[in-house]
Amino acid sequence: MKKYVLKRIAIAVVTILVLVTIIFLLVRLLPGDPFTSEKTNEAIKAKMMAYYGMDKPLIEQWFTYIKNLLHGDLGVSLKYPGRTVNDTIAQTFPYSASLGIRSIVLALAVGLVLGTFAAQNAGKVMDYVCVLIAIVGVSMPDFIIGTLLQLIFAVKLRVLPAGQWTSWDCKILPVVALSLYTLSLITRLMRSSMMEVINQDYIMTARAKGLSKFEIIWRHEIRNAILPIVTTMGPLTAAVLTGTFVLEKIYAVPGMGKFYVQSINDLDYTMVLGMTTFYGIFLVTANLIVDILYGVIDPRIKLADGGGGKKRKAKPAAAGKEA
Amino acid sequence: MAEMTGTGASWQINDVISADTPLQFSKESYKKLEKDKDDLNRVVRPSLTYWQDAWVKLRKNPVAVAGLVILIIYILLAIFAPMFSAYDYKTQNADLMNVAPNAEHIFGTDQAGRDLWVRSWMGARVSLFIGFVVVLINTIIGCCVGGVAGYFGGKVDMTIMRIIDVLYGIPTIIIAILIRLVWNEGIFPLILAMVAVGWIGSARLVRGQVLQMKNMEYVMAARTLGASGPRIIMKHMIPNISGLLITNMTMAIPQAIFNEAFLSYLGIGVQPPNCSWGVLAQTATQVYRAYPYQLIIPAFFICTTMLALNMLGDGLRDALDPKMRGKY
Repeated sequence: MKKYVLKRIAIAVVTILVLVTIIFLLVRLLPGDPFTSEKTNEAIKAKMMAYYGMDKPLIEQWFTYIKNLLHGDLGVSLKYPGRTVNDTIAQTFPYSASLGIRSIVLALAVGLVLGTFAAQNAGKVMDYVCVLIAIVGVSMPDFIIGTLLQLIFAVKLRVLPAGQWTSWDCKILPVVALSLYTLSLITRLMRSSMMEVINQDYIMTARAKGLSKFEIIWRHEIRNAILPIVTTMGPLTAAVLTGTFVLEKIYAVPGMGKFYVQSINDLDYTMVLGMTTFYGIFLVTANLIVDILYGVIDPRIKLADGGGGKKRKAKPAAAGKEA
Repeated sequence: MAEMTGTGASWQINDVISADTPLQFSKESYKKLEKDKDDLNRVVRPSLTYWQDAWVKLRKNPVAVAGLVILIIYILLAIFAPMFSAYDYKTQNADLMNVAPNAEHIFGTDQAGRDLWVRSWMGARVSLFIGFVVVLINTIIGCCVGGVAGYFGGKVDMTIMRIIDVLYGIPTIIIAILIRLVWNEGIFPLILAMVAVGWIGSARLVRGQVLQMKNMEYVMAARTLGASGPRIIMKHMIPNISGLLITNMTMAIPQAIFNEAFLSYLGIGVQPPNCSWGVLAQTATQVYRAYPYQLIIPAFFICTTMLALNMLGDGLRDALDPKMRGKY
């Protein structure tokens, strides 16, 4: 188990390093330099380049960049002087996190229930209804769901506010819009994984023991069927996160995604890159946590990973001695 | 009826049985027939290849057929609709701004007075093209990398898998956004942006399958006959997992179309005057409160295409997977 966790952490660290290096190289590939737009002569430009350390060799710049990053310094905005990336993230990320967590919780709650329900009623009308909801949900990009929900409930029916992030009713539309895709994915996955579990022998044993239907579902079926869902939580976090980019813009939530999109449109490179680095590290960390969590939940991982499986099969006696 | 092959003698009721005449038996009915030695070898039903079998199963699945039909209609319209329209997709017309759908302009016009019917199908060309090409390239790269890693194993496999482990953690959208910031012109960088880390999924899939097949007899037979590694991978292993690959591709295309729409929606996808469904949706959001049809049309196309592909993919998965028989 320790080996597994250490390996995951090592991979995550290398991933972050590679990602950061790619980001660093791409900045250098950007057409022009940050001072092209300003009316300066060559001498002043050279001085500014020297001031920002951009005249040094690439490898030296890379080390400075990594050093700044390790100090948690993500740079300053090009467009709005005096605004640092760190401040922007500190101010806006809580809104995004609150939106994201709400929608993941909603998606998990509804998705798991719908998936279980569909699998229990496999082949019946309710199953088809659940599958239909799931397949339609997967097929609608969140920016379309977002604008359509806003159009229907805020503009036409006028029952919910169209934007902002203040009172509870403002939060309904963005959270629902953001969770619909994830919700559908979870429903689909839960259904198919549940269908597999239902046919297992131990379920028949449980039924033969005379357990109640609820107890079988709760103690035997859900606990086994939920494992594949855990592995998808990493990619799902990424999906929710990219969803916040557009939904925050649509619903005027003052979150990080909105600023990110605005920075892309403003061509505020340093801002985009600083935030991208943050998002990248955030997602890699999320994946790492999910991986480790999976190792904790599923005992089979310990055996399958770390190259131990093969050896143990070949020399059962030796393995026994070690233990 | 009642051919009892394999018992040595064949018996048959010779009388013609029809619904209105009651059954009548005579001694003639029980006459012993001559033994036909070909009976044993007679094939009653035509034998079906894997693909024919899959096609039969797919045809029986109305949902998948509906998906396929929608897709074919969209592809045909994307190819032919712009050719037979009186309007051009990029000519602006200040007199005809935001015209609601009517007989002249079936889908109305946009803020610049451009006909939305033509723009929708030009958008379909771009969106579908990007979706298919991205997934095709991803699958080809995935087959090569995954095949090599799985087949050769050992150090090669370990090196490739470590690289894949690292790249897998990098979110596609973030890399795509970065690449688009650097190269913002044309469709090629857009495809590159989506391929950059997109091939990893299929590489992992192919590797897993190749690992399983590596020790099977037909691979050993091919190796004994002197086939080279790449030949065994391309000629023997890839065809064996083609069903899985096709299903995987069908499920990946909606994701690619979605990514394109998403990037276009952020303003770093397809650049005007070219259009895709994502661009149409993006331009419509500026005015959708006043002219909702401009948003609903591209939204409808994106959703139905993704829906059709998902439905087809579900059907294909069932049809192409021999293990799925009897389920669903």
